[in-house]
Amino acid sequence: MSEHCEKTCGRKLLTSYIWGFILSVVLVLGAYFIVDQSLLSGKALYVALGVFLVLQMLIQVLFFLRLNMATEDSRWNLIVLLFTLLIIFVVVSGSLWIMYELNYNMVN
Amino acid sequence: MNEHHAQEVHAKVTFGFWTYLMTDLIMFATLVATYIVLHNNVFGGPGIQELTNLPYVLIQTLLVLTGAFACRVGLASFYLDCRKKTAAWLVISLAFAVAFCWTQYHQFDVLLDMGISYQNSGFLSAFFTLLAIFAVHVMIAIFWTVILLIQFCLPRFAGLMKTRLTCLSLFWSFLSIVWLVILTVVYLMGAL
Repeated sequence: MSEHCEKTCGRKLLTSYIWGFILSVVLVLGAYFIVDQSLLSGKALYVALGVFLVLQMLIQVLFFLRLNMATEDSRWNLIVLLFTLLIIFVVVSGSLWIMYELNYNMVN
Repeated sequence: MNEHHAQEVHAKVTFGFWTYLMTDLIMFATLVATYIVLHNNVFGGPGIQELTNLPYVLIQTLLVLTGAFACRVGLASFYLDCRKKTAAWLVISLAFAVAFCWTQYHQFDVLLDMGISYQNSGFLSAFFTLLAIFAVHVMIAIFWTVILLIQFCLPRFAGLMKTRLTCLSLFWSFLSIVWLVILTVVYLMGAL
């Protein structure tokens, strides 16, 4: 992830990690609070938790992994990540789709 | 020239390790999908609502996140040329990883004592498998950190430490991403 890193670069990394950590903990506490206090229920809860999870992933990628399109190394890391997400989407949504349809057809 | 070569090796190794992490991510995705498919098949036994202790899970989450953060700060101090601080942060990260493994062991211990084992239902099999495989990954991080700390004291590894530290912090980021997915899908969505 890192190019030729001098002292200024180390400081930049440190600031980025501290912000990422603070934001990530705040989001975890937020999601925990919603569930603990039963603020939402049903579909709204799933959507809210999904949004929190996506934000968490974005924080990990931007503040900790620091992926971007600007440098050659980082670009390839990002492309591999995006392709992996595509595969995960196909595998997970495909499995769930098949299994729930199967369940439905067995019962009815 | 030598400096350039070292940089090239560093880039190659971190890219290769990143690619491995992505395949590991696919494995966890299939485990989570299995869990989602099986989570209602409780066979008359306890479901996820009965097993979830939210404050306990919150503590586990903070342990993973802080462990990953400590490792990252160690990497940043390495760039800032504070070798002693790097070692100190690695020790902190190690302590959080050990604490997480202990909480996970304790949770399994309590469940097994209550007669709730992975053999009782499809849900429990998926639950135990997912969490145990995650715990194994944290144990790998523990061994890795110990080995890195030993190598840190030996001068002949000095040129390799940057790459190894980078890979370890990538691994920690991977762990926190996977744990956040487990937290959301298994515990938070299951608690209600």
